[in-house]
Amino acid sequence: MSAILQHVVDAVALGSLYALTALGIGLIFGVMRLINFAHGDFIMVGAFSLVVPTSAATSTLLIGAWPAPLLIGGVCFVVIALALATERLAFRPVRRADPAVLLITSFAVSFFLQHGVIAIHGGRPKSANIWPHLMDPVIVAGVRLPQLQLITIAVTLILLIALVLFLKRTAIGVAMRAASEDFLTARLLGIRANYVIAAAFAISGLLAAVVSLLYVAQTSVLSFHMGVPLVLFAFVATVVGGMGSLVGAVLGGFVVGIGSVFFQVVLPEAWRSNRDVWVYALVLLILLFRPSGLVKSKSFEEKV
Amino acid sequence: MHKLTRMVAATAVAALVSTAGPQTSAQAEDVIIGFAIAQSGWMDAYDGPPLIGAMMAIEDYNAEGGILGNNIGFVVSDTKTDTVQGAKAGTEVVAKGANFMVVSCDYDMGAPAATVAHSNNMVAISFCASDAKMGVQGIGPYAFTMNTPGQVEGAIAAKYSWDRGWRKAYALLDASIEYNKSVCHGFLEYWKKLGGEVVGVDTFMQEDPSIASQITRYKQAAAEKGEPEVMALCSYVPGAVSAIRQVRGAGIDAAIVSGDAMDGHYWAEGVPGLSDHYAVTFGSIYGDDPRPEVNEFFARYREAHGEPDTSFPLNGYSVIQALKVAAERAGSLDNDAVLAELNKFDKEPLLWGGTTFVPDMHIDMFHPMTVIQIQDGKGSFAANIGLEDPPALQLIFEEFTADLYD
Repeated sequence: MSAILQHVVDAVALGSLYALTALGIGLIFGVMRLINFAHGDFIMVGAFSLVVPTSAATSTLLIGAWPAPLLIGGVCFVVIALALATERLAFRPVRRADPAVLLITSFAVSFFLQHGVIAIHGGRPKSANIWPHLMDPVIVAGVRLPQLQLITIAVTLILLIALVLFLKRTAIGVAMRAASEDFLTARLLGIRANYVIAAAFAISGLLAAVVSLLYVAQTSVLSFHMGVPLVLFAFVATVVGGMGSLVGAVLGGFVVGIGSVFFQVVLPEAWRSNRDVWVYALVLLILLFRPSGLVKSKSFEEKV
Repeated sequence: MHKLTRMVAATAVAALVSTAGPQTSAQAEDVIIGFAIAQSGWMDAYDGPPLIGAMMAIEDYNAEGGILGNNIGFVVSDTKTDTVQGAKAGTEVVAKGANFMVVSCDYDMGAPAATVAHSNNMVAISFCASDAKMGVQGIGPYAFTMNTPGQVEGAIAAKYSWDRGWRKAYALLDASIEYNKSVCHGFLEYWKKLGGEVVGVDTFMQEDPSIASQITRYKQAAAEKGEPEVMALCSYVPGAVSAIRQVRGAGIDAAIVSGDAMDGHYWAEGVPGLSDHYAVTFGSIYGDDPRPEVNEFFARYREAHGEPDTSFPLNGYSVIQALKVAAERAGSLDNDAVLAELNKFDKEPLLWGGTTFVPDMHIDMFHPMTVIQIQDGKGSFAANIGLEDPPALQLIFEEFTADLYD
């Protein structure tokens, strides 16, 4: 019984991380039909902002040494600024282009950021030790659970609620929803495209920064490649959830995260190294029965 | 202060060995070493330190007359951590008149250049690829690597664990690359031969953001079959660091053993106060190696290039040393003559240790390795272990399957 509770928390915590990443991608896709593969690199840059930029193999904390509120604020600032800068410099000039051009642009931004980090920090992965006490377990119902997992789940819930309130209760949030439903009509009604899109990038930057912090607190890892697997899983999550739907992105994140832990637990030893094959098989199965994802988004269906 | 000197040193080395295009220090009568290695991209961090070791060897030998009276020159061409560019880099150093080639510290990254060398009947030595395919079986008879197979590292980790009196082991395998599988395979095979108990075997992937379910499974196994005393963690940085942080965070105190991928302690900042971590590698960088020549080498390294991160510069030095010894024994720079002498190496005392090559095995199966330990976040020498009975050849080329150990 205690093992089952443990597995459930493991699964939901991993699902939360994917859900937050998927939400960052889903938000941008909603407002400008851009699948932003550089989102993973926002997460990566957030992680690297914790340490002093040098090519030495050992790392020295920079923002990572600040007290928690400043640390969180600092990383959020860096990643939001980066997200806004990429929007302004890379994506805005090609906004009207074909979605394929947008996609390629996002790959270019991704490679640029990764190689920029290699140039500054070197190609060798580094470690950063932030908030080690979060690894200490707490006892819940007789089960030892890592605090960090519970915090990850709590932070995800809080951010989801905050985002829902933002989208429903604020003018800019309503504008963003309108833009994501029908961008042209929204503009005709006087919604400023630049403003809405920049706001979406800022929020996706904030989400990326939070994932950076949770990820580094869990793994201590800083690597130029660290964002890539996260963004791949998150992209799959947005597809499973239903492209264009934020609820779908979150749901998809949980499906992929929970599926991943589920197969890790139930597969026999010899098959476990091929776990992801099973996760993707599950994804294919879902898409077979619901080709537009778990949550259908009206604005993305082909109109005949 | 150390960081600053390291940065200055790194810049100096960069200035020395990297300006646009392949550079050369070669003159007409020289013997030329062609380095087709990474000077940019992620592999640079792994090829850089052995290159410094190789440069130190070239300097040393030139001061005492070079090879067979020829001054040793070099050309470097950047593979840019890319396999296509790797083949081009190989072709380029051949075109620049290299007599021998040195390739990247990795089978996949080094193989394209080594293949070019081989098709030119030129000896190519990898700095430190630990895959036996970097040799006769994967490239051809002209290819060598200055390392042991991962299986031997794993077996030595098992021997060390057994000698420490540990009897219950757990293996946690990062199944993302073959090297990791080799280390775990060697460990488990040798552990069984010694009579040790395997409490469990589990896998994870290098880029998994969480190994929480692996930890849950470990705890279940420990509750059922008894707490493991040692965990073979077959992985590399950074996935291994993430795993160690999560394992120690979950209150698992078993000793952790691993291969040369976990050499040094530069990565240990992610796991504050880490203790009982043991890595099987080439030598101690901490000045406490029982071999005075190793300590003397790292003292010189430290002076000129800053704190070493790993002991891999030893291998870079040894590559040049091997070429010099073989060429002088052959009395010729002819590649076939040098190859014949390399094939006769029997516990040849190179800087990284006694080196043995045989005509069909160009990776050292018998190499004694150093176990370094991390206690309270500090690294030090722990043991020197060589195996009289290394894993059988068929094991070296056999594919790992975890269910062998059910």
